Amino acid sequence: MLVLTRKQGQSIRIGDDIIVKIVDIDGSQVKIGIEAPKGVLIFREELYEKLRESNIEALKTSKELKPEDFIKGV
Amino acid sequence: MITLKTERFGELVINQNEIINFPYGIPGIPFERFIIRECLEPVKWLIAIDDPDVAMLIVSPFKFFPTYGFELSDEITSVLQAEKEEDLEIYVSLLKYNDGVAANLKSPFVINKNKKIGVQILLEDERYQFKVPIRK
Repeated sequence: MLVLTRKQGQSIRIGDDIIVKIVDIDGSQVKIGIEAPKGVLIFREELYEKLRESNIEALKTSKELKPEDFIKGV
Repeated sequence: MITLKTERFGELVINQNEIINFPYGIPGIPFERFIIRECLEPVKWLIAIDDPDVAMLIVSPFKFFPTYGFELSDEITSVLQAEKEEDLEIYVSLLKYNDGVAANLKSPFVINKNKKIGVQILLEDERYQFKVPIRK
C-alpha cells in the first residue's frame, strides 16, 4: 500500500480525475473530501463490506425463505 | 429472446427489453444484467441472467414500511436517466430473520423501469439498517 503524509488542506490526486483532500483533522478523526467522476461510487469501507455481505446472505437465504409466511396477514 | 435452462426456475425465457443493466454492479455479485420476475405477490425475484441460479427475493418496501423514503443524489438520478419519480421503482432484498423475514432497508435497489437501468444505493440515514424484521 502506498502511504503518503499530508497536512490539513493538502490533497492527493489519483489518476486524472480523482482528488482526495484532507479537509480537517481533529484528534483521531480526519475529515476527507473526495472529488470523483460520475462513474465512481464512494462508500465507507465498513458499510460497503456490510452491503456486500447482506447481498451474499440474500442470495443464500432466498432458497430458505417462504414469502407466503409473511404475506399472510399483511 | 433468450432461453436459459436453470435449476431453480426451470426454463427461463427472457426478452431483451426486460433486461435491467446495473452499470455499477451489485456488491458481492459479479454480474450486471438482471431481470425481475414475479414470485408471490408482492415478492419478486431479482435474477442474474448470466447465472440464473444467482437470485434474490425482493419486495417494494412501502407496504411494509410506509414511512420509508430517501432522496436520490443528482449523480444517481443522472446515472438512472430518470426524468421523474414515476420512472423509478424501489425494491429491497429479503433476508431470513429467526423464523421470519427481514428487509435490507439500508441499500435499496432503485430501477428506472422505462430505461431498464438499476443501481443499488447505500443510504447514510441512520434510521435504516441492513436487517429490519418485517412483521407477519
